[in-house]
Amino acid sequence: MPSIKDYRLRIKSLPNTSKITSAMKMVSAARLRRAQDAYSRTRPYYEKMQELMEQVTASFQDLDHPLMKAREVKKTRYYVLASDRGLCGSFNNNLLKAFVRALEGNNSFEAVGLGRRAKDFIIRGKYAVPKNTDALSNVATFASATEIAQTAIQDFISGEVDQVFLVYNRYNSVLSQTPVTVQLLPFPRPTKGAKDEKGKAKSGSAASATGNSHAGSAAGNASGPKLDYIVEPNPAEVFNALLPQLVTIQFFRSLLENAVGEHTARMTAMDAATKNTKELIGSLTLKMNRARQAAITKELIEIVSGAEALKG
Amino acid sequence: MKLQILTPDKSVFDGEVDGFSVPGAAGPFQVLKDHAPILSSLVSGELRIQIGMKETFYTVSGGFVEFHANQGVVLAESAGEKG
Repeated sequence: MPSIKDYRLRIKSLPNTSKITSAMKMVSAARLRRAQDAYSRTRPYYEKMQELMEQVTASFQDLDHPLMKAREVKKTRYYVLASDRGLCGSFNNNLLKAFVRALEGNNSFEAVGLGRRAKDFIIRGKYAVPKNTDALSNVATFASATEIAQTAIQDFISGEVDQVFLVYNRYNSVLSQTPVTVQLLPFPRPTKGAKDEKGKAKSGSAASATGNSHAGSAAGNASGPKLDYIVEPNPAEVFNALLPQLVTIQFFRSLLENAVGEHTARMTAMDAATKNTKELIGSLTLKMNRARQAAITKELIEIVSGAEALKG
Repeated sequence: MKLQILTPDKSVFDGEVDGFSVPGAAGPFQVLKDHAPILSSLVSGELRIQIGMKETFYTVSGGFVEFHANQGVVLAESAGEKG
């Protein structure tokens, strides 16, 4: 049984721990705000991009692009997005577990880790790694996202890989992030049904955003012919330029979303840790007092029984 | 008419303009009020915005421009005001 002194030492050290964890929570909160800002700043661009894409694909049905072509899958590449640092609860663990699950039944793949936790995991697991990926970081700048996405696109077109997946944490709310595996390439062809639904949802937002006659006509017939656009230089070329850009921005947004999730997870974890130290201080103080009382009782018994013995 | 210049990480310009010209992939062109709906890819170059008599210059690198119902949106990989 630990002595009173042991308890006292532990209790004394706990406020320091709680100071560190609550400071880390503050830092994460500040970073989270920045990450959220960065994430929401990409939204107008992304939404407009998707709108253009829908318009182009809706008006010109016969468009085709190598990036959309599904082919026999010989090799799959996974981009695994994790954080650089730990102390963020089960954020990385859940993700890596999801990654391992995604790999099941697939024995021809390579994996790229973005973020140290993912990188280390891939090295430890001795997964195949494509060339020239050592220097990649998960610092979410558009330039770095472009670089990675471009490599993915090139490798896909050259036939080096036949499928590209992205494994990252989807941000649901402050309390929950779910690891998801998203297919980046070949670019999922919008199915007819999904497009209708999307068109309807979108026309609602478009109506509030632009408030013009176009939104009204689109709402009436979501899959019908859209505006008659002059397309320069020609639909195919615009489409060819749009698609890689859309892939890149999707990748970029996943990076940012992952960062938002990371900071949220760390904030929650540090908040829980701070609470735990408080609880721990309470329970340790209780135990210490019990030990103190036991010691006093023991001493009293010794004195009394000593006196008794002298009397007799 | 309205014009927005968007890049992946921020909105560079958002406001009322009288006209703008962009470096289209098939050649630079100017968009004024009531221009027909147009969708064009862009090359790197100079974007000019006219507000009244004033002209502002931006540099854009790649991207797209979409214009309909007097609403213009420029999606550029990067854009900045020319100093």
